Parts: sequence; structure tokens; C-alpha cells
Amino acid sequence: MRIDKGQISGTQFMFSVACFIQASAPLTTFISAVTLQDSWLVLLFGAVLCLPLIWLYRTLMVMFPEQNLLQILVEVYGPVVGKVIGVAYIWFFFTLASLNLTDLGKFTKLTIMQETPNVVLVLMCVLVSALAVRNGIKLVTKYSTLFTIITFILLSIGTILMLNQIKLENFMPMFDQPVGKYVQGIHIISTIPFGELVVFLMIHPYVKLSRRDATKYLFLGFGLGVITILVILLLNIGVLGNLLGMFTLPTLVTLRLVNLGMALSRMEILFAVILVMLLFFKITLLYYVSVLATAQLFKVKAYRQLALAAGALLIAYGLTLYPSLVEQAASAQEIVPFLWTPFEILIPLLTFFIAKLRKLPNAKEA
Amino acid sequence: MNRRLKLVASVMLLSMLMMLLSGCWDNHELDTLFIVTGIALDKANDSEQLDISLQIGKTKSNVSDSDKSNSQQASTIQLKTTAYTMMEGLMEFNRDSSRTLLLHHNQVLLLGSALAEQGIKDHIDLFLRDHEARMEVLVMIADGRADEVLSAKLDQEKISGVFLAREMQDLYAVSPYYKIRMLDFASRLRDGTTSPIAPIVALKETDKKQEIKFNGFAVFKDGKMIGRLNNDEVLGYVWAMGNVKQCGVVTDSDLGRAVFHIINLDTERDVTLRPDGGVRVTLTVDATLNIGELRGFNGMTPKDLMPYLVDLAQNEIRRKITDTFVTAQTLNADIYGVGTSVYREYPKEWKELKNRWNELFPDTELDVQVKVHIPTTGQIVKSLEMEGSKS
Repeated sequence: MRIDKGQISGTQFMFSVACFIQASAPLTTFISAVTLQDSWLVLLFGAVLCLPLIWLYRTLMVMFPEQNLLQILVEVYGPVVGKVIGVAYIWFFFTLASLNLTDLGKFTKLTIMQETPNVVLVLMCVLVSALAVRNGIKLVTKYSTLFTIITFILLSIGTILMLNQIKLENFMPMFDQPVGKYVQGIHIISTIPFGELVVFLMIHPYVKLSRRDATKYLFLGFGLGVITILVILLLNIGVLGNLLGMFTLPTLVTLRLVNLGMALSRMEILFAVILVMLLFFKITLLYYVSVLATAQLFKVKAYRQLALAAGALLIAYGLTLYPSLVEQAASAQEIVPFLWTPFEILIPLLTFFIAKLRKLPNAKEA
Repeated sequence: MNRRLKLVASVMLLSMLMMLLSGCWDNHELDTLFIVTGIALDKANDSEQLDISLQIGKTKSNVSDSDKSNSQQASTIQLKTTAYTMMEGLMEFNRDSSRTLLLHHNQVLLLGSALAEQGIKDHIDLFLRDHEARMEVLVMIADGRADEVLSAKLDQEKISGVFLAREMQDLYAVSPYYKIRMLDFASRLRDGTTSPIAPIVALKETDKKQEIKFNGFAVFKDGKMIGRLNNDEVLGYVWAMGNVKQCGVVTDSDLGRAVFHIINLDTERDVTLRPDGGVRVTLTVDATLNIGELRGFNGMTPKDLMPYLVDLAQNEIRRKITDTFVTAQTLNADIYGVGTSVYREYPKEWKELKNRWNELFPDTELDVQVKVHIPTTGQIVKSLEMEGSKS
């Protein structure tokens, strides 16, 4: 039944989760533009509120250790409804991959390569990603450890160099904005970086995990990711103060300000490295998951053949998604969180309850 | 066979990547660039337009040529134009020059005082928006025409933009509040109640020599320059903001003249709302000084002198801080960010106070508490004229 024969270890799974969440760290505007100096609090609240959600994913992983999300859906809702929801999920994965690809193109263009056409940047990324996707889950997740560690190192360097420019008073006043903003902020933070972890329900059958390990690695990875975003947010708020909401890429502006004795300055290349690296990982994983899901749905044995075609589609889709960055940011703040909620929270929750009611995994064995 | 095919394919693929990844579009070679080291904006004859002047550091080898005329050449190029917006000016420069302008290394943005008085809010958008724009660019006001300051021929440094940047770097070591980067300036412009400030530099010409002098701070309100602080008042401002590392305190009394050297001066600000609706600011200054130089104080014993000096220094610091505060109140410009402090302390009340800040700030009470420590007296314990030195 399994299309990809590869297997990954628990640590790799953990770092994949961490890296996946970290990928949202360079692009903190989606949250910092909404709740400004309280963003870090919102992040922490969001993370705590998401723990039950992660627990839900974990429970589904343990309940169906041999089946991925699409198979679970078919099992729980029956072949017809299950497949319809499956198609919706494929669209979800595909859109996510495409959105991240657009981000990569646009922000690389904004940070280091202003004159290079978007298509070229995106194409390069997809070509390398396709190579990984064709080789299966093992290669897709292989570099997550390295990426996570590099991110941590570069981030620590950046943070240490910026320490002298952090103004603590920029964090004041706390809780000054209307309650609605906080609710919106928490909703955004739980659906955009955290809830996207639902994609790991597609790859958990490849992980050699026991019940305890699943919990441990999933939460550890989640924790590592949250810490990264937290550090970046704190840094941006402390340095930029009331200008935080003005910039497209606050982290880039922050790192550009590094100035230690006139010698150590112009560190924004660090940002570009982190950005490209992490987004590449996230895109590859999402790309892999969408290809895998498609192959499974249509019972294609050789999913490898789909990789390049899907890549071409990703590029085309990404280019037509949003007319401009402004609209993309607005939609990320206002529309996307609502659009993602069913995929990330409602359907997994419903699946869990129905599975419990029908005593599904056990009934099958009995 | 298959393996060899794979090898060939991967080599081909890699070489293709190599060609593409080097970036066909974004290559910048040093000999095709003009490295901008300073930008000056001035008011043009037509008030809608700007006089834009760019200073470009010439790339030049350090090897001393036998040809002496080489060293006589200017080490900068000055480009000038008049345009409605900064971007139009840059486009014109790029059209009319052999190289591409590189703004990454721009050191300073100089604004002419006439332009500053007319308002600058409309003119700095590019310096925030452009992808080459950096928030660490220094913002300064030139007394008179900015392009004249930028084109100054200095003895100390060949490029005036670099000179200004280094001067500011030195002042930054004294107090971070001296150095006004684009980030600080824009942050205050956006803040609403805090008045932006920027250092003023003036060109001084004395018998064929040109010098750039630091000439106080310009005070802005609503994006327009409305007044200035002189050098003494700047000290009062910097001390009121705290975090001063090195700086002199000059005191004068009937008994003699004493100059102190600040080792560390920290100011804590506390804002409270008065029962009558006004605002009270309490500044608690904690300073550690060193005796720099003494003149006079004849007939005093060291035991009497120390408390006297402490008193003298405290009064002087208090006087300067109060003087500057009064100047700021006269200008009705909240250069200290008192409003922001109120906002941070009393966010609920601020919503209402914010609209009345223009009336409230001149009415704000200031209370300065100064505590001075003088732990050491320098290399000598007594001066020549003091009592006890003769015994």
C-alpha cells in the first residue's frame, strides 16, 4: 500500500517539525503587523493554546500508526466522502506549497537579488525540490537537522550583535490593544505556522515511533520552532519599536542595523541564508506531501513521475495566486486563517471523534 | 553504462546550475558602480522641487604615484540635479552617468535648513522604501545649504560624508542620543507626540580652510524644523536622556572653576499624572564624575572641597537639564518623548491626553534629582593652591 519505502528516525522527525515551524520565523509580519509590541505574548498564548491541537495530531498518529491522513479519511468517512475530503486536502497542501514558493521568490528578490526575474528564482527552487521529492521522504527530511542547527547558530550571532540596540521600553505598554486584535493574532498564529503541522499526519507512517516517542518528538520539535519565532519577534520589537508595523520584512531591517565598531555590519545576508534555507525545506516537504497525496488518491504507483509535473503546476499556480504582496499580506491576516481552520482544526477533530465512536482502528483488527 | 550516463547528466546539470546561480541579473562589479557616500537635499527655487546633491567616493588606488598632480585631484565626485522627488533625481543621475549608483554605503543624509523649515516628511519616503535604503543612515541638518557642507574640502578626512559618520560614531560613544539614524528619526516622525531631532552641522570657512562644526540640534514638529538647541542645551538634553559615558561638566563659582569628567551618568525617568490633570516628570540623575581640572579654590581643605564640588556639579547638571527643558517647552516640542512615557505608563488615560498634548507639554512640571559621586580625584589629591598642600 505504501508508495514510498523510505523510513526516517524519530530525531529526524523532530527536526523536521522544528524546521517546518522555523520557516515561518523570518516572515513574522503576518503576526507583528496585527499585534505590534504584544506579538511575542500572542505567540506564547497561541503556542499554549495549540498544545491540545498538537495533542490531537499526536493522538491521530498513534491511533493510526500505519495510515496517513488520506487513508485515515477513507477509513473513517468511507471511500466516497473520504476521497472528497482528500481532494480538498490535496488542494490545501498544494496551495500552501505554492504560497511558500511565492514567498521565497518575492523575498529573495527583495533581499538579495532585485533584478533577477521571479520565475528564475522559483524555478531553481522547484528543480532542487523535485530532485528531493523524487528521492522520497528520506531525502526530503534529511537536511532538517542541519538547517535547524544553522538557523540557531546564525540567529544567535545576529541576536548577540543586536543586543546593544534593544530598547526594553519598546515592549511597553502591554495589553493596550482592543481584545479583538489579540483574538485575531492568536487565530493567525495558531493556523498559519502551528496548524500547518497537520501535514505531518501525511508522513508519520514513515517514522519509526512508539507511542511515547511520538509525543516526545512532536512536542520537542514544536518547542524548538516556537523558540525560534519568539527570539526573532523579541529582537524585532526591541529594536524597531513603533516602526515594526511599517516594514515588509522587519527581520531584514533589524539585521541591517547591526553595527559593531563599524567593522561588523551589514549582516543581512544571514537573513537571506536563513530565509532561503528554511523556505526551501518547507516547500520541499509540502511539495512531497502533495505529490504523495495525489499519487495515493489516484492509485498511481510511480509517484516519481508526478514530481516534475506537479512542480510546473506549483510555479504556475503560485504566480497567479495573488496580484501583489499587499494583497497577500492582507489575505494572510484576514482570510487565510478562516480558510485554513477547517483543514487544520475542524476536520482532524471530527475525524478523531468519529473514529472513536466507530471504534475504528480496533474494529479493524478485531 | 547507466552509471556513466548518470555521471554525465549530473555534471551537466551542475554546470548549468553554476551558470544560472551566479546571477546574470544582479551582478555588480566594482568598476561599474558609483558608491554614494552622502546625499544632500536642499530647497530649490521652485518650492515644489528639491535640489539633490550626491557625493560619490572615488575608487582610487592607494599607491602613491610619481605623478604629483594625482594627489591634487578631488577624491569625491559631486552630482547635482533638481527634481520633484528623490527617485526622479536618482533616475536622472543614473541616466547621465557612466556607472550605476550604489546607495548601500551611503553614510549621511544632509538636509538643508531651509528645506527642513519647509518640511521634510514628504521627502524621506525613498529612504525608507528603497531596497538599498538602510535604516542606519545618519540624518543631519546643515546650517544653510546642505550641498555646500557635503562638498567641503576637509583636512581631516577626504570625504565629508565619511567625516560626518566618524564624528557621529565618536559622539555615539559619549551618548547614544547624539547619533540620529534614519530609524530613530522615522520612529519619532511616526510617533505623533515625540518631536524628532537631528544634529546640525555648519560649514565654517577660515582663510582657505574649510571646517565642519557641530552646531546643536534641530528640533522638528509635524515634520518641520521649528527651532534649535545650542550646544549647551544639547548637553542638557543628552544628560536628561541618560546613558552618558564620557563628557565634561563645566562649573563656575566664586571660589574657582572646576571641570568634571563624566564616567557614567544615568537618568531614570518617572512620569506621574498630577491631580489637576497635568503631567509631572521626575528625572533622577545618578552620575559618577571624575575631577578633570580645578582652578582656584584657594584656601580650601580637601575635606571641605569635596562636598562643595559635589554640590557644584549637582547644581550645574540640574541647571542645564532644566534650561533645556524650558527651551523645549517654549518650542512646545516634546523632544524627550515624555508623551510616549505617559503612554507606556498610563495607556488608558493617554487616549484622552494625546489630543491635548500640545497644551499639556508646556504645562508639564519637571523635577530633577541629581546625585553625584566623585570617587577619585585624578592623579593628584590636592591642587597647588589648596590649603594643606603647603604644609
